[in-house]
Amino acid sequence: MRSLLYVGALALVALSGAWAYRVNYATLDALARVEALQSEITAEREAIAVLRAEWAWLNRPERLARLAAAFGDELGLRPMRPTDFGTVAAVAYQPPPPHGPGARAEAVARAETSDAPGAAPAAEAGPVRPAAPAAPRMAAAEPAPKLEEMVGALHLALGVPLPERRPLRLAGLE
Amino acid sequence: MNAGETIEGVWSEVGGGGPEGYEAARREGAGGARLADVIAARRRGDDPYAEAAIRREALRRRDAAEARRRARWRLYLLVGAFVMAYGAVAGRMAVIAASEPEEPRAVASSELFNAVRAEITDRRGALLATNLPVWSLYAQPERMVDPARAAASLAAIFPDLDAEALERRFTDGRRFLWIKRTITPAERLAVHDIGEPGLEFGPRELRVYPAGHEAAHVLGGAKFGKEGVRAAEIEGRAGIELALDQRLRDPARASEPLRLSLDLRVQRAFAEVLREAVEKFHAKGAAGVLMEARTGEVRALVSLPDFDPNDRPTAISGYAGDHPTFNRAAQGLYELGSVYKTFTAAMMLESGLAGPDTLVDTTGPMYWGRFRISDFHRMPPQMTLSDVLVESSNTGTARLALLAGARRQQDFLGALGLLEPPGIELSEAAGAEPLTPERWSEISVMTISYGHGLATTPLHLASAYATLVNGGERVRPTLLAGAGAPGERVVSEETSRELREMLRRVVTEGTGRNADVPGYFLGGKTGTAEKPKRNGGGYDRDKVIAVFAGAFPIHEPEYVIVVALDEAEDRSGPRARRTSGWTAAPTTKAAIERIAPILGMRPRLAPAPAALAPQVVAVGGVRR
Repeated sequence: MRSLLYVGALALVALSGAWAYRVNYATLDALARVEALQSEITAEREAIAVLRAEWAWLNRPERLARLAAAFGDELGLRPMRPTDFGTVAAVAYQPPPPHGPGARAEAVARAETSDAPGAAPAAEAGPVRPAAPAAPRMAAAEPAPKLEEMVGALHLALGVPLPERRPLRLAGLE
Repeated sequence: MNAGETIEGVWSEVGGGGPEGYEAARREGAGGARLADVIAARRRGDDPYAEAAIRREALRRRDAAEARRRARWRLYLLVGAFVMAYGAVAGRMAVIAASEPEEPRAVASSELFNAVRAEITDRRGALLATNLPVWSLYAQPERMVDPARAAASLAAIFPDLDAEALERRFTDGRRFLWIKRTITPAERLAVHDIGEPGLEFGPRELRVYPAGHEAAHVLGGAKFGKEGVRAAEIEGRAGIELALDQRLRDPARASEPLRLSLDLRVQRAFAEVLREAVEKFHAKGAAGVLMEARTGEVRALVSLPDFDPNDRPTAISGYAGDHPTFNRAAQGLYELGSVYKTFTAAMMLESGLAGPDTLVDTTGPMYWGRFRISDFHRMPPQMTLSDVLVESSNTGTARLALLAGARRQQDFLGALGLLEPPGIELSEAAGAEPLTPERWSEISVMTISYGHGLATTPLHLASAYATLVNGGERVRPTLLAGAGAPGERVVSEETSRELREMLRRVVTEGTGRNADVPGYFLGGKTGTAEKPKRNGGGYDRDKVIAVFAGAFPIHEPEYVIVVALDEAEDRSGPRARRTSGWTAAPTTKAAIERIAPILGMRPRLAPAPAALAPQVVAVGGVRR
């Protein structure tokens, strides 16, 4: 029994020695990694400072004014004037896209407000059985609306004239 | 011994009786017990050795206990020492595990001075001044392998260096030499490729101003102070960089950017309008100030001509007041002319000596000794105080000021801050002490009442107007965001209101008609001041400073605007017109049309008080 205790104690000493050795070198590794990380952090911070300065330089008012003057016609840019203020009430709501989520509600509203007697029950049955009314619509297979048509609708809703389509001039890309 | 006993008999008794006992006793002795006790025990019939054994046993036990106690104490000591040692190690591990990780310092400077400088931003966070890490180039000629080739290569890379001069300096025995204080990374690569060990690079930071020409006079510029190999100190040269140099260099606040009250967009718009005006009216220069009426925070401070603070010109040639680095808005002292009539009117209203409808004698010209005071054009013989301001009558104002007296005028102008430097955070402003007459005589009272005889800066004008129109609380100009606060009361609310109505009439009916901006209810005063001759002796009739000072919206003023044009002429008509109504007033109108939308101010249909105005939101932004 006693010799077992001695053997056990010796084994414990050996194990703790091994553990101490591992922990020591793991710590040294970690310290080296910390130093490397800190110097990386410093380098990144410097890079960030340089990029911030460059961003501010590229956004300086004189350069932006020059760019606005060069591309102002295409982008529709000009200095703000006191007449450029409006009110929210003057903005018209645009119609929902034809095949989008608002179309169902619009169809329901239109059916309810129309005078046809058969339309109302069909509209009420609509939310209960969405598959049936949708099927004839899809069977009609309308083509998807073109981008130009949608843009035109938007501009008409806002009461703003349609912009001319012009190719965008990008420096260096031909 | 008892009678009849022999020694042999006693010893045989000790041994247990008989001759064997005698032999045993002789062999073993008394057994550690006292002889008398043994004899007595034998006589009784007890085993004498048992008692001795018991006694021995007791003694032995006592000694063993003693030894065990001592051993236990030693054991405890040893265990305690081990526990303390391991406890210390475990405790240190716990402490390290629980401590905060340290951040690396961005500037690893081992020089004796600290080399950090805080950034400067405008009120919305746009970067106005920052630091860029660059390299400096220096030479240690002792370590040079081929000075001639090095000098020739350097002269090829840097065109402004002379190869022969460099070579002379490399070979004349010195041990250290600065070649270039800041070089770009491309230049550094080129110098590195020369392959000369004596050419070294030192890291340092360079102060750069990304906004370019904008706010040049406010920022000022920076230079290197103490220069070391591993770092260099940045010092301010002028403007706010010099005025707040200690705050910018404070290591505790280096990571906190200095937020100015300027708005870069407004500054740019104002500067553009003034540049166009300088070109259109063939002016020598211009100054503009846009200030919050209640707090004194300066939203824009423009002085033209300007410069690039990244490359601040060092040499000043010619007249200092015309140099691009001269701050016409906060440093230049000018006699500003009729804009001072507002101060005279306010003084009369506040002191109760006159009201807006008091009739004033305006027959001209006035004579006082050898001085002659006349009006710009014919005036009726009598005008109300309000009309004196609207029509800008010199004689009316002079007579009113005489009524008030020199003491009252001096106190009033001092209360408005017109007799001391502006107090704004610019190094040049500290020296802009207004030029006052040596003796405040009655002729001084009269001329100062309409703006000649006292020279102040346009910034003084802006803060004095702000004080008068914001309800009467003293406004001190400041460039720091959030630092402005209303001060002591200078005029009453009633005076301020009456004055605002008069100023509005100037713009709707009087000399400031060309400044009226629809929707913004501008109120203000024009001023056309002849510049004094450079060599003394009177005023120059053909050289004028045209000023407009006003506030908008006049009924609840938010901003005060001052525009000053130096030697501007409107050549659009048959004759050149120099009065402020044709030069500074339309410039103010153009400025407000550009600036007010940027500030989010909607044009109003009627001058409704702010409390009753409906809350409408500007399309594309929120009302600031």
